[in-house]
Amino acid sequence: MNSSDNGPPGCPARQGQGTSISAADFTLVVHDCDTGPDGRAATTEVFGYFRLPGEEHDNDSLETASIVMPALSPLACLVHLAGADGILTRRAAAMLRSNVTRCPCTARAECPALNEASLLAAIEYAAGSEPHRQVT
Amino acid sequence: MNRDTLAEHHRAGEPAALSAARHFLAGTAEAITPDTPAPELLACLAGYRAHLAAVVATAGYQGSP
Repeated sequence: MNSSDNGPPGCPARQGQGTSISAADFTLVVHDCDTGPDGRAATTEVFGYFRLPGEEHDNDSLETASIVMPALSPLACLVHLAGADGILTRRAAAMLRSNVTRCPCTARAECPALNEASLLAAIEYAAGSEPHRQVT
Repeated sequence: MNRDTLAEHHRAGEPAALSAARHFLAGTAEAITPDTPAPELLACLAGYRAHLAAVVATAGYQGSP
């Protein structure tokens, strides 16, 4: 279906590379990396992606930006909590979906509704914080 | 960082906003663990934002003509 069939043209991320965000599942990926000399992870990376159930090709997924932060920082602990709890992950997904649906951009890449600030806001919202304005 | 150390930074001419931010950061670094509940983590992030804004505002005043 062409996005113009649904009304005025909007953010291409709604349809992505064929993955309608309204029907896609969301996965939040959280992993510690950059192990230091003491054997402990130095950083934590988080990003998310929307993908249709059963779809296995990366080309079809809608990815958020990724955020790298110091391991064991408050934000790193928060993203681990969000990634390990299905309810929190779904709350984050709902906010990201809502942002993309309302996004008026026409960018083919790096949609602002899926950027670092949007991902951070969604994780904080999922963990219990009220949505706050993005700093641009 | 305890209050004595904070006072030392003040005496060293460090802006008050930077001393307060340093104090807050040191305190949270000791308090945060993977088991820290979400409300406490969110409060930390709010504190970081507030202190960062104060430091940036101070730097702006110092950098202006």
